[in-house]
Amino acid sequence: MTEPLSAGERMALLRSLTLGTRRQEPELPGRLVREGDLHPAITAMAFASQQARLSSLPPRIRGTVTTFRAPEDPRPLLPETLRPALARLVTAAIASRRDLLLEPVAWRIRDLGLRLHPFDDLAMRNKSFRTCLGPYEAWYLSRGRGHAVSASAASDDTWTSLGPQTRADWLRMRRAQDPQLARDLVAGQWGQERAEMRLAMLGALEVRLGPDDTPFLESLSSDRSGKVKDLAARFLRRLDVESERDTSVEALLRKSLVVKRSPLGKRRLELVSGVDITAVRDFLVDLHPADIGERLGIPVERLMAPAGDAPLLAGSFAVGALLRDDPSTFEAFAAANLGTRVDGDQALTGWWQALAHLGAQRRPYAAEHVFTDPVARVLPGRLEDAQAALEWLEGPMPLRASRAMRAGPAWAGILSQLPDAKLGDHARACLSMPACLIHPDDARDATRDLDAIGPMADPLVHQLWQLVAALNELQPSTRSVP
Amino acid sequence: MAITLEQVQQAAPDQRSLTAASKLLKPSKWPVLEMDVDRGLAWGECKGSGSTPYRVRLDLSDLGYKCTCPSRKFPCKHSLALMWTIAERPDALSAGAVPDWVEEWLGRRRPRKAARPASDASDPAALAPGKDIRSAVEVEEIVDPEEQARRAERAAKAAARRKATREKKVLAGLDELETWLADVLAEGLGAFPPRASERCRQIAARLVDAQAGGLATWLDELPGALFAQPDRVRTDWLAEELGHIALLMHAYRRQQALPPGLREDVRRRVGWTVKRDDLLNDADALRVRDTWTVVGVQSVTQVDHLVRHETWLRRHTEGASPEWALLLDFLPVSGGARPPYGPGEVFVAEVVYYPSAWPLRAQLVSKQTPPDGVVPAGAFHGAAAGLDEAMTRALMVRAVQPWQDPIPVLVDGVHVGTVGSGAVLADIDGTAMVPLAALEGPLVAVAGSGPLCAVGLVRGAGLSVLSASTSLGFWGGT
Repeated sequence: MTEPLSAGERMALLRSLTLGTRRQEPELPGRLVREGDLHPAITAMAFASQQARLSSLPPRIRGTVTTFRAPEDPRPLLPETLRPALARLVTAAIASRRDLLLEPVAWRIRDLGLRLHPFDDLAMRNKSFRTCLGPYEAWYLSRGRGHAVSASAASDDTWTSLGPQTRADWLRMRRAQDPQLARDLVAGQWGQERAEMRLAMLGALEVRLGPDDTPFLESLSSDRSGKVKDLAARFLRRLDVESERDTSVEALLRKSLVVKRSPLGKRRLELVSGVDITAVRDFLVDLHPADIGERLGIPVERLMAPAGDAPLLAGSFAVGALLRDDPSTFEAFAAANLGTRVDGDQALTGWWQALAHLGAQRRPYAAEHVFTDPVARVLPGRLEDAQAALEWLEGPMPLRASRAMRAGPAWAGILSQLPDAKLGDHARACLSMPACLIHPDDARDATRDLDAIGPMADPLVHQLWQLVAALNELQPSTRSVP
Repeated sequence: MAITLEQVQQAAPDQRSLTAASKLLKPSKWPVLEMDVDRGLAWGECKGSGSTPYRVRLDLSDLGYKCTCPSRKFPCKHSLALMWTIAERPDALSAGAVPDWVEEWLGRRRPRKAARPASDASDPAALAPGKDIRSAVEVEEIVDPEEQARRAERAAKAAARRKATREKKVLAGLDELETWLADVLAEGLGAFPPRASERCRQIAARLVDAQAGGLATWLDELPGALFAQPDRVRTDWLAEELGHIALLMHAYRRQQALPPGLREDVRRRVGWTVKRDDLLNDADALRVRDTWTVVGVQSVTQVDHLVRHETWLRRHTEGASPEWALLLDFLPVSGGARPPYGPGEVFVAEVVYYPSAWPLRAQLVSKQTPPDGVVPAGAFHGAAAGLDEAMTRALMVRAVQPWQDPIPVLVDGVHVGTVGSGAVLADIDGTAMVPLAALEGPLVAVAGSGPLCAVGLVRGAGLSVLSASTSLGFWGGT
């Protein structure tokens, strides 16, 4: 066996090879030179190469290793048997329908108290699954996005290294702790940021918005970005409205709403020009609609009339009634506004916004009322809107609502369509919602409905149903999202 | 939902496809051939030229089909053969549960316009002009045994002549390579990088002419790999890589002195190939039947516009050798075919290894779904206890088969972390650590899961984590 090259011999050879053997003839050890070898430098290079490959495997490094340990999540993992089905559904659903199909599944998984497997990367691949995020996934997302610092770990000195979304999250958190300091941080950084970042930072000031913010918001009237100017103006209007709140409810109502007369002399309510429904809804739902009518000198029946801004307002008035345990007035509003007399999109938008408000207050029981007959009547063509409403409600459909849904004409209409192979995207969406949201108590009945139809014409729906049926068989965990 | 022969004829793109499909009607060509009558689905696995069989799916309701083969004819011969089998011998298909790969396809596909019914079955030619399914079945020529023997002898002589001619060309190509290497060294490795692409392309073209395709590809890919190295180590890396090529050149010239397995390794690296059928028919080839876990899948686009799908398998039986198998599939980039297996899949299979000093590359002979109660993915045996032992094992592989790159290793008791800004794989007790390319994406999730038993690939002087067994189960890589 040939003796290995010494470090000196190896260095000398490498120097010669780097400079060129024509310029610097290599001085090769005699043991590497063979008689008749026309190119001994090549042979020596091959020898040195093998010596290196057999002595140095991945280069060692020194230092203190920082390891990671993600936070514990006590929820059990989604069963192994369901992981491939879920991954398949994520991959198969076309982009435009993906959220529609996946969000209800995500809700169901969360409702069962299960956690997604962190290795499946679903939270990163699809935002629908962020409803089931636990501490592990949140930790992973904060690292996986590649930020130098995660939102929770940022400080007053490092927050500017965060991306727009994470930075806004951090500012919201900081704003909740110390509104003035957070505003000062934003103001100090303002001139150095692009429009997208300025908008994100301004959006974070919504938390604990107060009169002290007025000078800063007014200074933004000359900002280069139209979106920033609009948002600042909206905040200022809200501050204006809120500052008046304490004076008198009546004055506030008159500042926000105006009574107009139609050409036929009938009175109706509209928002004062420039007032945003989102700015007034909070106090409107604090009042019963009859009280509002009395203060403004307009009968409550006229408040229900669907015209002008009424559809937008009607949702808030109806919610006000519901929050005061007056479902009959609520249903009267629903009957008047969710029929065929107004443009469906506009009318429903108002309702869903109102429902979003309820959702934010964690009062999902209201959804039960919404999904009873008045709304169910219009559902065959409006299920996607209902889907949107449920997203805002952030929860699975309550038992009574799901039963109303299944007993109503919408579900019957869907079932009657299914044997027809021409399932369009809309019908697909119609199917997905009740399929996933039906209360577990009724899941078996619902599955029977589907079984009665026979093989699905749409394989995606079939996959969805298989997954939901399997989920419905699982026992709910006693754990919830930490 | 029966299919008629006329519908098959109508679906065929041309007469040649029908003829090719007729040769695939033998049951022996289809290790898997199943059907779900209720859902109107049929599927099968048809043996092709790759290491893994082609997977064919068929929706009987509208004759929608999908095959993993790279053919540009639609439907391909495999899909046609499946339709044909259903039309002629539906009992050849057994009832089965729809597998994941069929479900996945169903989720993606858009329903086709239903195939036109055969309006006049008595005149199929009118429905499909220029195609005739009945004439597609070739009648075997009857030849007397003596003539058959003479033909075989002539074919063998011609093959030997072709081989001898190629041997000369390869040796001549190696002479050109040596001259080229001498020129490169005379000019100096320091001057090489700016002209690396041009120079490598020239010699690669000469080696293609010399029918030394393996060496040609190596040299063609060398500039890309060179520029991927940090500037400070580029010259050292180049000297090592060219030295490695030179060793292969010398080894080929002296191949008769090498042990048989290593000789085959050298020849394969230079460019000689062993046909799949020849390997399957080789009675001396090493065969192993066991339960295997797919521990990694990698797809690499080569400079020759082929995608190389690497499927890394780990054997379940404790202490058995070889422990690994590597299935390779080469497909055109434009075909868009996905890897045949997914990480974490467990199956029982017989593989046959290409002859080698360290058997690794293999072909799948047969495969079955594992019985209930099989060891789950990630329950590995025989892992090295720490990085030092794993690296020693990799060095031993390199000593017996110098051109094996990458080398798979299984190492227990490690975790992923960082040192400064760099990612590392480190022993839990801190005795050893090696750098990783980056800590991002799903590897972050793995890093947070605690200690691992990792499957890694030692490639050159680097290591990458392919998959791992973790406290949260099997992680199949990115």
